Amino acid sequence: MKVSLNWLKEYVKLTASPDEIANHITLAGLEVEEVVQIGSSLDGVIVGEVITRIQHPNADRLSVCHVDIGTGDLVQIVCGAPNVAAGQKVLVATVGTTLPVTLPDGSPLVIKSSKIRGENSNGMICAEDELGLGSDDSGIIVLKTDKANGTPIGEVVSLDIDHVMEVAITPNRPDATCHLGIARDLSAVLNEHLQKPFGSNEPTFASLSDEQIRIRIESPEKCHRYVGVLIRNVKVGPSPDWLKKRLTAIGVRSINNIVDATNFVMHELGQPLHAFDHHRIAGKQIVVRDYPTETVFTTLDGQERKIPAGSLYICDGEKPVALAGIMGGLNSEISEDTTDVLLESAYFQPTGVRKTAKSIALQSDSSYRFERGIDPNITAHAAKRCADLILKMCEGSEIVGGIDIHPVKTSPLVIALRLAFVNRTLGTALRFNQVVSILKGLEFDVLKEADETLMVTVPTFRPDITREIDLVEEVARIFNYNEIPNPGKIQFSRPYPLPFREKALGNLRDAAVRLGFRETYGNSLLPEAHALLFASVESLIHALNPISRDTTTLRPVLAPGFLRAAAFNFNRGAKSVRFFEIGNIFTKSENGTYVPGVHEDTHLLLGIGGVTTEAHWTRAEKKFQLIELKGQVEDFFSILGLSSQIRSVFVTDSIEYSIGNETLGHLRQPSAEATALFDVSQPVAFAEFSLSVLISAMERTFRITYEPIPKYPSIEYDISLVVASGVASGDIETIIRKQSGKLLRSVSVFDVYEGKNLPQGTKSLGYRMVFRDDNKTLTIRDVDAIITRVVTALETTFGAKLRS
Amino acid sequence: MYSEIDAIRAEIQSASLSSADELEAYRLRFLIRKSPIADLFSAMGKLPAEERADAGKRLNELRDFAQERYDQAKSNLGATAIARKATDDLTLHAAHQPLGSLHPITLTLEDIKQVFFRLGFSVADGPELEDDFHNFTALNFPPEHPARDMQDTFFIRKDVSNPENDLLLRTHTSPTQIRHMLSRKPPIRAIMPGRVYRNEAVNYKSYFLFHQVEALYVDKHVTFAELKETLVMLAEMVFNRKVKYRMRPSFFPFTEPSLEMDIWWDAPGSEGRWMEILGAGMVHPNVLKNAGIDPEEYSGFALGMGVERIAKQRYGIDDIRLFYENDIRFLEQFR
Repeated sequence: MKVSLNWLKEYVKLTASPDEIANHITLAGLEVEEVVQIGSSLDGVIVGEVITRIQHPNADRLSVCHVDIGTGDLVQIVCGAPNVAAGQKVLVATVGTTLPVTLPDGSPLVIKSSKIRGENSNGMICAEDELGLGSDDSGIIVLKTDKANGTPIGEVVSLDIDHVMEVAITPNRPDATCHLGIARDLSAVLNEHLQKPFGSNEPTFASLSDEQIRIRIESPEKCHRYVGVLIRNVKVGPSPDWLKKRLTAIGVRSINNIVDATNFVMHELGQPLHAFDHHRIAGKQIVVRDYPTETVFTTLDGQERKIPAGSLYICDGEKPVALAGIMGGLNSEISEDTTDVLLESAYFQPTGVRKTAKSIALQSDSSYRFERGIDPNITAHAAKRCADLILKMCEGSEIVGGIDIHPVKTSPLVIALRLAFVNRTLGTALRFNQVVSILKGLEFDVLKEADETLMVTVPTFRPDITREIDLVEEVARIFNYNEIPNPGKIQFSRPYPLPFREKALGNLRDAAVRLGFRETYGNSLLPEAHALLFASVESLIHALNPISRDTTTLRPVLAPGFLRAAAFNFNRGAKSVRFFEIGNIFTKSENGTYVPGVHEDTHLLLGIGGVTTEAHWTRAEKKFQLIELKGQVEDFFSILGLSSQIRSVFVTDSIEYSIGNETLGHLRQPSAEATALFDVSQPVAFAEFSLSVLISAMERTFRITYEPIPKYPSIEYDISLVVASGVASGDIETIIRKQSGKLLRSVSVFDVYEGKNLPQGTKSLGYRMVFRDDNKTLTIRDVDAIITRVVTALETTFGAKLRS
Repeated sequence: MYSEIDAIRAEIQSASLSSADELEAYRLRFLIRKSPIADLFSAMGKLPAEERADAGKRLNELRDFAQERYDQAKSNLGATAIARKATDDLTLHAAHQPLGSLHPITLTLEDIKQVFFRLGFSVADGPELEDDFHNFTALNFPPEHPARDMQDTFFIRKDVSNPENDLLLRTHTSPTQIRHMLSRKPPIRAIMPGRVYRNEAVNYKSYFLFHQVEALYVDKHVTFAELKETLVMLAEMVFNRKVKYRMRPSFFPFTEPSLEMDIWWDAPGSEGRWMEILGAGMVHPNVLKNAGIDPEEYSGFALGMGVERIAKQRYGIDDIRLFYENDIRFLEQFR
């Protein structure tokens, strides 16, 4: 909301700089986002005296003047004004001055030395409009001053400089949506008197006959009060300069004196008003009522709007004439010919106005205020204030009378405020009179009770104050939060331990980073087509109101985010990706994790893609291999200390991991369909795990227990086998382990070969076995028997042949 | 004899030993069994007895000197003689392992968490898909509050019979405060980090999801002054310096009094300005009551901040969308 500093000064004495005043407003809780100066200080414009004036030799309408501007030398200036004459004291814009006049190209007018029709001109003698002081362009300003030549303009003319502040109004402060409201905060902060533009007594109006106007409220729950004031013999025309200035300063367009008066009072007191052309009110009656059906109504901005059923209207004897609290109708608008005006000042209930305004997506200055809740007891004051302004502007006009229908009365709330509660909440040692003075400054009535309690009457313009704690905030914000002493220390009770999950998440991230994975943050909302690649349509959860078709569906797994990130980077020239992500996933379920019907879990994804190792002089480029990720996953489990608990089931090109009888997750490659949809140009694979399963396993087992270093050395034994191509290495390994017994400490594959020198349909596998005995040094003889057993078993089971 | 020793020493000294041939010639001249030095050793017997000890000492020194010069020259010559392979060039580029990295939001969030842990806070977790009760009603949002509009919040399910059962994507991490308060008795001191959602258009400064950390402290005699002190400590620890700050009254339905904290931001080369870093306040009595805590016995404060906002400041990032694009050229800058 825009606030004019000059306007504020009508209600409270302000002597500080605009920035200081803005700071006071901000620290009282209404953040000033910007302060802009309007009007020019006209630096470079000074008092001059026309010493000689002669007719320009080459132009009938121009004069050549010699002007004393206090420098000692006379300055020659060509002037086009008809009223310029020797002996005048005038205002001279000296060379280099920027004037608040916009040239056709949009740039400001800067005074330069120039030749006009062959005569030198070094400055400009100014008219009112050229200085932005008014609209008079008929001739130059002639001063009645005895100030010395060369005196700056600011000392002889009152320059119309204003400062306009952009103030952010929090939704709890309807009282601050007007200049008086902001002035009230300032008056409380600065302890200055608030000069209100109306008295304390409720205004009264002469009564009106039924022929003049009848007013009826049919929906009192939505319209608590309606004041109508009839004014006759008005003359609609342009507003006076002072009024135009006030409104244009805050960005409100001046329309005519009647409409401007209503807008002025709204921005002054916060009460939206509406002016009807009395002649256009059919049947001379006003009815405030709901419309049970959808209606089409043309608002005064010329828009034809569909208004939903149940909206509140102001109607005349025949038809709706205004959408209550939102906008008037085109059919009753003030025009140039209007002579009699019915002013409306009413209290409309906030939720009704909000509902209608929202449903037609129309927020007006009026609905903005009604939605927040205006003062229900300023209705008549505002009507009177506006009528008086109109009377002042339209000679011969008069108030005929007024009607005040007030079916729902609002009486002020009284709240008990304990001084002890104030200090206990704030941690302060405020005294009684400090609290009283702040509250009184905000126009709260305060009555002292016994035992340090105040009975506080809350003015009706503060509907946000309903509890004792709200009063504490009022005291604190006017006192200034920053003045409440910081104790310099804090105290807290014995901290409770961090949940295991917190430590586990740290370990998981560390493990991934140790393995060279880069963390990504994927989107939780996906296009449905992406989600459908990984989950059935029945299990997906959708937003009812997505912002676009790309964000309709909650991610059922993290994989789509990985594919998107991989494709994004490959398309920008990346050769390989190595990503991990930890994030929440959502699917439908019978019971639900936190809320009914929704399974929400945290997942972790490890994904690789593109070349495994880029070409380098120390090593050849290593192409993508799925098994690479298998190794990373095993290392990952190993770092977490879970290797011995994980069971893997191999299904063609994927691995399912489980712990106990719970599925932990899968390692897989995307389908051809997914690859195409995501436009992934390089081979990729990913492993995704449920962290609820993984972390509970970690919690059960995560402990490192030291084992003594072996006393005796181990011995290695290598065998190379030729087997049929279809035999799985994992199965051979199982037999090796089974036959070797507990002396075997590890087994690894050091060679895989197929091709030349081997029969078609066979392959050769090399196994390295490491044996160790904790009680003695093993010799080759100790191992021989085991090897024989292993080889025999492999021969029997797989027809394996030892390769010599 | 001494003059002969000096002559031989001079000859050894001046011998050129810059090639294998010269080295061999040197060896054959001075280090074989029939060398001038050996001759002098043989001649020692002819010296008078009283001179022998001294002459022996000098001859030994001469012999050692001859050997030393030979050894040194040989080793110098040897080093240059061994051929250096092309791969021995240390100016070649070494191979590197892939280095993992953490996302800038994680880095920022973890730093913030560490500060809270120093200040005695624990951490609590809750769902991103919430119900209306925890996200709005329990937090003292009136039924007509604009945040409950479809324009502001992503809804998952509407329950006409009981709006408190509406499902939605949480708009802040505050519902976790409610869950945490309902799950344990005061004193409560914990933070609630996590992902939140707003139905907002995507542009360089807004995104429909982002991350927050909130903190909650509920105990007997918690005061606004203590909140202020905590915030100052927090800001100084997060930014790791003394900060110039101001606290402004503000409005949140779930706190009263409420505030926003700005710190003065002096970016080099640009004008200083106030930058909002967090919102906070004393927990509203209605919220305590909704979470089963007696507001006459207990009071508390809550605060919340946006992780992206802090991360953007920290790293000079000017476009929030970069956080979710996962461009390696962006991610690799955060180590």
